[in-house]
Amino acid sequence: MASENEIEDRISRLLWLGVATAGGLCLLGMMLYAISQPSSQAYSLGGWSVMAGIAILLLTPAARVAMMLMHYVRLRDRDFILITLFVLAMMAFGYFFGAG
Amino acid sequence: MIFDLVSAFVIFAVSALAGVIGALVGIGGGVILIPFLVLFEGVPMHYAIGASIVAVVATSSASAAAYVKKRLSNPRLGMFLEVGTSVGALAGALVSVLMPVNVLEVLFALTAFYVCFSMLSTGKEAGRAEGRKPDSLSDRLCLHSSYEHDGRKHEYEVRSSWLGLAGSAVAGILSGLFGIGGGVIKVPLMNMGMGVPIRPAAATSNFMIGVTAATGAAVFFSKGYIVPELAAPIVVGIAAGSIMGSRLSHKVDTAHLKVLFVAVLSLTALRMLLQAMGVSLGF
Repeated sequence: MASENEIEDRISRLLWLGVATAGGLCLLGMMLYAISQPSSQAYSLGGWSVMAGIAILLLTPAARVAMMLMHYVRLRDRDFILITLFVLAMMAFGYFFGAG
Repeated sequence: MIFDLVSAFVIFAVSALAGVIGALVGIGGGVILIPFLVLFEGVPMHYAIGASIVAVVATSSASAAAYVKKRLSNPRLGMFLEVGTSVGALAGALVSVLMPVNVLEVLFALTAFYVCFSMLSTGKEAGRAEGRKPDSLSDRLCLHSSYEHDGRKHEYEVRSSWLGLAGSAVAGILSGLFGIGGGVIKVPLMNMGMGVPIRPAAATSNFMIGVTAATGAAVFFSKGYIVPELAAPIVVGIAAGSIMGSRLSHKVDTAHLKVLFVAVLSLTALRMLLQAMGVSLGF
């Protein structure tokens, strides 16, 4: 079973990975914007790249909460299982309420 | 919304500067970025908030990664307070997308004045929570923790967890409404209200901001207020700036920078307030 320190290291790695991937995709998109015309295929590819980066960025904190949920499930810490599930539900509602 | 290359470069440069200043004076970049986008680039308020909230997720996730590794954050306390911030952020964002722009601008300007006041009062670490005992909820959830500083281990006990939860909801509402991190409320709340020392309070606030901002950002994302052409230079610029700023933080005397920042932010907030009321100052 992972200790508190191990889970903190995993969270740190996950956050770095999420931010680096999202930043890389946004940078790629920005470069495609800079070298292409707004009506070109490269420009729309840039848009997709940025949106993928933003989606990864917004999912990174949710992935962190999910990782903590798994940790609390392993610890059978009922209070924190409920807390993390509640926070995940609020994050999901954000998307669904906004889209509605 | 398509920006020309010059505008995109200017937005990138200002975002990088906001990242540097934010890291040096201890705030997120949203409070700098939103007035710039609205007043100088003519970006509609809701799109400016959408871009800012994405930038807040980027900067807080990057700095949280470092703080968690250094064992400064208190993940259990952060997770508990996220109950309040996530509800607040969801409510704030849902209200924000429906709110008339001028009302939003007035409220943002008032929040910016509060940020100025809060920044001038930092450093007066008050021990208001010291006389109180940890409450039963803090004990039950094992929110007490420790951190290392100057080679020594410092243990602390968390008090007034219900107050913390309520205050976090207020911070979440502000984050969802204006696309800011809300650290200006969370850090003093944890420090003065809950007895958490300033270093773990700041680190735990950063740990929470990603979740808070992502909850609000989901609403702006699904409403189409996050535009890739605007978000890309802001995310890249502010992330690069905040990394640079955190490296400079040990070398730069931030006292004078804080005063200058407060002066500029106060003027910008005043201009935004007057613009919302239909008055032009001509600067």
